Amino acid sequence: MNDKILIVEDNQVNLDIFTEILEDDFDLKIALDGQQALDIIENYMPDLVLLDVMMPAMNGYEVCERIRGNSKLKDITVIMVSARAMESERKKGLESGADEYITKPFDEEVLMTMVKSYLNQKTG
Amino acid sequence: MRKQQRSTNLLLLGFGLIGTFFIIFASGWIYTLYDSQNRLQHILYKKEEKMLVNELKHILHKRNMAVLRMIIRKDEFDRDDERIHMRSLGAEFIRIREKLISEYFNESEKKQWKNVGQSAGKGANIYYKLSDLLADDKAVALLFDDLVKAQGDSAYELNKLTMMVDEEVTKDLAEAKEINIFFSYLSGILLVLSIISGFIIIYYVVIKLRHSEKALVEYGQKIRELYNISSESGVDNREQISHMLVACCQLFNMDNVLVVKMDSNNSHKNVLYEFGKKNKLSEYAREEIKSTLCDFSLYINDVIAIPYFSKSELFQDNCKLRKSVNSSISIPLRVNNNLYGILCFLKKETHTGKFSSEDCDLVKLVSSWMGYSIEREIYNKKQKLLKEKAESANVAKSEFLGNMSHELRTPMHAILSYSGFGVKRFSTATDDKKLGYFTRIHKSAETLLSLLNNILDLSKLEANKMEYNLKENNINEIILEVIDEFSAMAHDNQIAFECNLEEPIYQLRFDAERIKQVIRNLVSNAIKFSKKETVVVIQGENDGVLFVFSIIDQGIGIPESELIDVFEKFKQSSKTKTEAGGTGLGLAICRQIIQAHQGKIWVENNPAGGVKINFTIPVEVESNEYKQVS
Repeated sequence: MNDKILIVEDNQVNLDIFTEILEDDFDLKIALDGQQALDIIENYMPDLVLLDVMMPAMNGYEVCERIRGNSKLKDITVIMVSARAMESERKKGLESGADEYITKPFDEEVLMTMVKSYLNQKTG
Repeated sequence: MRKQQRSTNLLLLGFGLIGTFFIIFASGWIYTLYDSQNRLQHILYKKEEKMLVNELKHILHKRNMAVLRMIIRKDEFDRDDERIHMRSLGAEFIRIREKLISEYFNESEKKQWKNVGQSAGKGANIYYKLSDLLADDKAVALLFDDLVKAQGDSAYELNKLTMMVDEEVTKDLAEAKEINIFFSYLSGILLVLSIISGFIIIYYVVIKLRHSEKALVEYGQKIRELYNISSESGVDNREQISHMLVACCQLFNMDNVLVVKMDSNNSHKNVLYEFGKKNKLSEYAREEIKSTLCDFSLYINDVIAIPYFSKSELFQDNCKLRKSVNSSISIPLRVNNNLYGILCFLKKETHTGKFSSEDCDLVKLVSSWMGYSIEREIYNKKQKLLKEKAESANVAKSEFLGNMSHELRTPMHAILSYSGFGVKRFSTATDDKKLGYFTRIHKSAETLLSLLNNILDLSKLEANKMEYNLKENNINEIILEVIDEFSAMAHDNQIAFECNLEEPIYQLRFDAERIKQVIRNLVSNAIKFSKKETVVVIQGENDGVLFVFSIIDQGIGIPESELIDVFEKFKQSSKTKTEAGGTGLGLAICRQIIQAHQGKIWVENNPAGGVKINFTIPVEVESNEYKQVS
């Protein structure tokens, strides 16, 4: 059984990119905004969340904090993915509870390696 | 100043009196000296005269003796000796007589001398007869009796003459003595008066000097205290001003101080600073001071010191005010050489005595210092504002750069990712997939280009170099074209459009590309910020004067406080800033374009949720208002 990845992203182009890279190796679920992600995550219980930062209504930082605040969800690996490349934003992402923060554009193989590494750590 | 002048006048009067006394004294003394000298000389003169008269008496006596001896002597040779002796005595008598007559005798003495001369002449005749009648003893005896009588008469007359001389000398002496006594007393009195005046003046001068010294020392202390306050460092400017006002209130022994600021028309006044030692002024008193005293102070344009309100024409009838204030000292306040307001020190009771010139000078000094302090405060405020603006601009710039980076990275990410997919999966991907990759690359490149164009537009906006191509165009066609462009995006976001466009009766002149850019931006925002499964309503109306465009979404809305700011460069709604990115340029560019068309653009919140953005374009546009391409 494949590992489950929840992709939280409001931009369709970016969603398609994630799907293109990951769909062959993982079970993917999509959430188009933060609230939808929180609605899905408890039932879906993904192994890893790829979380965009800049989203309407609820941004990625808040989503991450809520995930970490939930005892059932706090151990889920969260990788923040954002086009915001400033060091302060990376720091903010990690402080909100993300396990990793990567910036767009990212290399396909780098993403894949990172995802597999975190999932292996979890299972291993 | 008047007090100083009065003191000077008093001093001058005092010295004048002393001078007058001394002049009178000196004049009297000189006159006395002169008169005494004259009298003394007269006395000496008369003494010489007396001596000569006595000499005459002596000569007469010697002649008498000579006559007696001549009578007694029997020898003729002896008698001849006596005759010779008598002749020489006679000659001496004549000599002295002539001297007295010519040099000494006054009229009355000359008259008296006639008597002497007559009696002396009688004696002389008798002498001559005696010398002829020596043999006749009886005749001699008779003649001798006559001689003695005549000599007696001469002596009597000579004595009288002597007495006259003596009387005159005595009279001279008495007169001299009287005059001396008079002038001595007078001089003594004048001297005493002068000394007393001198002492009084010295006392007065010393007292005045001591007062002046004391006032100077006090003044110096006040200045020092004010200086200490004014040179406090590390203290907030307003606090320093407050300290200064409090200190001045105490120095002037006043109860309240007001700093009243005028507006630029010098009509409306506001109290900038107020301090009360015991209590603040009543509202009535404050308003009265602001109106009456401040207006008067501005009119006079100098220090106004009123120690007694009850005696001032301004306030003597204002009993209500005099319950709170009864004395004041005020001065106009200048900042940067412009009239700024008024500084007033007020007291409930009347002031003890009048305000001194030092008090007025001190008020001027305080006013001058206050002017500088307020100037500094205004400058500091301006600097703070500029700093805040600069910081805000910096923050906005940082935010803009952050957003720019995000906006550039997003399409770049798509371009790089899909091109990477194309490269890696070229041999395995289907044609549809490959087409999809290229399509996405193309679209993202277009987005990137659009972003870069926005940046370019921004630079033109800032340099005021945007050019417009004004022509008559059909606005509805433009609107529909944009809607068509965004139909796919709307569909993807599950947004529907509702168009309510009036048929164009009046042609509009506008730059089609720029207005399209505006509508594109507004439609894009509406879709971006609308909730899914909602409707975006687009309206267009033309009443012959204005064309009004409206776009209404049911999105996240904009806070009321930001409805105007969202049109500023680099500004975004706080709701959209953190959530959906964007550069903060779109609406700023829209506003610039609409304003260039002499229109207006504004946003209002939709009561049903979301916003309604409107813009207007006048039907008749003055072409010379624009930079036209053709």
